[in-house]
Amino acid sequence: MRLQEGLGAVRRERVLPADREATWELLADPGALEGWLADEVELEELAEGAEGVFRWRDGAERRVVVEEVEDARRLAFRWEDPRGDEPDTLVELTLDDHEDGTLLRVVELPLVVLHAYGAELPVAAGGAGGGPLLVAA
Amino acid sequence: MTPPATTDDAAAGAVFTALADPTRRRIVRALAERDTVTASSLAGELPVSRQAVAKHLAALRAAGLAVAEPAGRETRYRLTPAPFTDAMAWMAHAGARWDDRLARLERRLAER
Repeated sequence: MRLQEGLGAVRRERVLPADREATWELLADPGALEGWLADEVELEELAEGAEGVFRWRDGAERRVVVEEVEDARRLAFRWEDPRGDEPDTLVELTLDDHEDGTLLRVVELPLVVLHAYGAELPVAAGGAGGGPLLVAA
Repeated sequence: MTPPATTDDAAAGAVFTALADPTRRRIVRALAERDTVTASSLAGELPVSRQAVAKHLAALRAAGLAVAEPAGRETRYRLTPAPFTDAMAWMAHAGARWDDRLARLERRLAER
């Protein structure tokens, strides 16, 4: 068993076949999120503090609060399962230029973990450093 | 399609919280290395007081990661790893859903 910093964080990385601006178009608009991030997106705008609901065909639902939007770079949101079946989590999607397109990094972290680590997380205390909101990959 | 979530996923949060503390992770490692252990013996090998060890053991018990067993005048603690499995299952489940989402995103971008 390996216990390490950032335990509980789900991480994914994928190189996408489009430049950062084109990729961001599918992240920056609630309508564009529909169909890949969720099957139904109820969110007026993608702006810090905006609240909405994401739904999936299998019946899953998440209440969503947008935490951070950095143009063509980063989107972070909190989501909660209204049924309480899953831990509330913070999701961060980060885009970086890559020779084959765009590198998308996803980190999903239960909020209880974020609170437990508190200031130990590089930028959990605020975006002043300009680094990622969650632990670095 | 990934399997539906279970209530075990909610318990995963408690496990991750318990393990967010580095001392508690050391205690879990110590518990994993032997059958049972006392708070005093843990305090003897870790740079923390017996009181602090007792507090950490209480947190691990609250997360379902350890049980206390009276043995004469002392209490021995045993690791109960089932919640780890639930926590790992949540991570696998959440990860599989991201794999699905990212595959859909990639297809969308390829279609443009």
